[in-house]
Amino acid sequence: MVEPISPGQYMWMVGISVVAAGVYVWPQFVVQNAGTNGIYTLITITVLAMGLAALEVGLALNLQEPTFVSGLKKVLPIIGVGFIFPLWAVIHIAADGVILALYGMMIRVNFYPNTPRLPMDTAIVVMAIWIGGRSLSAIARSVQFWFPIILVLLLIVMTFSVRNLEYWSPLIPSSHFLALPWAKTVLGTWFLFSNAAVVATLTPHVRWRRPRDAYVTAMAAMGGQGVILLVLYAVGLVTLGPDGLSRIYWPLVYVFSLISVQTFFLKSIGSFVIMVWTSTTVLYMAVHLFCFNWNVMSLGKNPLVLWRAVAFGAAALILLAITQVIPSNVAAAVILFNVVSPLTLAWRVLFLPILWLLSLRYRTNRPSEESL
Amino acid sequence: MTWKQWIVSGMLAVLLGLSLTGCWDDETVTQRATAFVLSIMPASDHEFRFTFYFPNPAQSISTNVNLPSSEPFAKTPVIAHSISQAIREAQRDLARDLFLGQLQDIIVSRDIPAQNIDRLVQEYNRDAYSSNTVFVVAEPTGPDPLPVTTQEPVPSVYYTQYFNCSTCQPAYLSRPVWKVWDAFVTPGVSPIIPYASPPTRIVRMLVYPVKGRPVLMTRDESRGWALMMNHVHKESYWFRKDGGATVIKRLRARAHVQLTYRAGHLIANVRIDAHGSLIEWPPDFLVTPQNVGLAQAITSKEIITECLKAVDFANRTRTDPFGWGRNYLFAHPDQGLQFASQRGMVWPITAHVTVITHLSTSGVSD
Repeated sequence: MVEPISPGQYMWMVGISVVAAGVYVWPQFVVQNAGTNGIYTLITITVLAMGLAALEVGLALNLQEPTFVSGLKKVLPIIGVGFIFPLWAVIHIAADGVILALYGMMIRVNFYPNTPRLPMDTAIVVMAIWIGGRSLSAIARSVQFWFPIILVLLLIVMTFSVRNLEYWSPLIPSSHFLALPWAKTVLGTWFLFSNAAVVATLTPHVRWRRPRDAYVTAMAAMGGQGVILLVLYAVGLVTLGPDGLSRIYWPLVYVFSLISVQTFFLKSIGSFVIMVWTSTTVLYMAVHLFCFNWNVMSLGKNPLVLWRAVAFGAAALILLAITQVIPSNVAAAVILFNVVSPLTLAWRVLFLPILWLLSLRYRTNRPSEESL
Repeated sequence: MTWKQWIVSGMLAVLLGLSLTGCWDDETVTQRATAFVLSIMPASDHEFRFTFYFPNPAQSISTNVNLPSSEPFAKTPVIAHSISQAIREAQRDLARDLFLGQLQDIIVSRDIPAQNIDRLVQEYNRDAYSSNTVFVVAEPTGPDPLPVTTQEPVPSVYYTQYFNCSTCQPAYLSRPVWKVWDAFVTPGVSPIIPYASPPTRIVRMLVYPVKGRPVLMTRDESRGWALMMNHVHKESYWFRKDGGATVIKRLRARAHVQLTYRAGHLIANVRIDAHGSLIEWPPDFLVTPQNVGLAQAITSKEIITECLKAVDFANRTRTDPFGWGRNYLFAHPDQGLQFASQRGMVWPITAHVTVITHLSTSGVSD
């Protein structure tokens, strides 16, 4: 039996499972395609993420199963396990692999020019498995401890960049709303909110007072991360303007590298960004791998400890293989924005409403039982 | 912990230790040639003379660069057509790894045309390892007179000291390289950098048109530019009137600009609030409210003249050192659809400048 976690821990875990790892690469894509209308894109994906998170919470609460996959087995025994689940696994592991590859490339391009990528990616994956291999309450405590610290560090770094904020008018979007760039950027940036069924897996293991709290907490986590996205977008745009921002591969790294503080011993305070983003990436991967592993394990009856280790090892190998196969950061960005990200959105929009309807039917047909 | 857990943790610790990154990039200080200043002077039509300046930290280490300890900086001059070629050429002359991460200033010759500076700045900015907060300053073409403030244990560069202190000078004129780059890639603004006339007086600005040689502002035009761009901290003014001098000190100005567009012109409504101290006045001048008002009116008029000179300069040279075209395009992105590819000045500027000066008298009255 799994020890349940508190609603607050749940909120931090859901929060770190979205946005956190891909936070440094998207502004160029958004501004290049949508210009100053990018703000519509960010609002759209945040609202969509909140809606889909509510659907996922509803699914989990209706089924009352320990994991997402065991719920899938209940409502769709054959198609669910034979088709929807493998699709889910492939798409989301691929998304995490590309995000990890981009992260390694970002570190290499900006900070360690001579270091090969494999050791850096390996270190992140090993750390993630080390944290994600523990029990739910242990990982929840880690996230609950580190995530607020990360946010405070990010806030400090952003405070130092206040001096460089200059052009406020590009924040106001153009009066012409263009649908095509909007659709393209929504599809391309959805990966930020594609949490691999973290919400559906964790929701039944929280000590909820009322079911309504579950919806509110999950939506608050998504909304909070959406606000951080908006703030980062604003900092980039207000510092460089849309023309400058759309020409930089790693816009946020660039913006934070412009901070120079003379009074401190450490001159470029922006290097805090490495610490902030490496720890967020590790925690993001840890939460994803933990939920992924739990879901895979719930396919069988009595999972052995050895099997868990094998599943973690296999996931690590696949992630690292993806990072090594991708040749360059340009290729990784194209794969992420044009292929992987639309796929994650398609999976969610296609299957989640169906699963939710099925779970609703399951709940009403269930012999009267104490519901949450 | 059981013995199995000990073994697993031990193996993880070893693995993490082995994979600790950064070792590949580890170089000691003695293996690095840390350049502080890069100067770029024209050499021929398509080539430049790049000079890298390395500090000579202290006598004990000076053996590393084979330099007498009296010389604060070591120089490595090379001729090349791009920064990356210059780095390659300079690296051949150096026994250590040429490192640009601590670069503080880039000195460019005022004779290098705008399109070449554009190319060099783009190239510098494209490299993610180089520092983006480097100050850019222009100098006349010459044999690299690098102003140095000798200081123990590491000599420091005059320009770095000068620009790092944002409140030391009457007007803060520093331009970091990322702002210069941003101005080169953004429509509706002309890049502008401070110009150091020999020996090291930085009171004039150099403006880059889209193509061709950069144009130097006069002192008055530069001051007008600084006033309208909110860079003036403690300017002073001096008038000779009625057989005596009137001196205004510590004048601080705050400008508010409103931009409208009418019939092919960008109309800038500039309102400047200036606060200063009346320090000296002619002997027969009585400090009455009327007379202080008169001094305020003279100061306002002088400020207006300087601002209008700066705007005239922009219209005459077809540049926009204020970035007002950019600001207007940012606020009206739909206008930008037809002008987005046009760099430099997009529209000629008509400026209406209103100045309100407040003078206070302080210290001793007579």
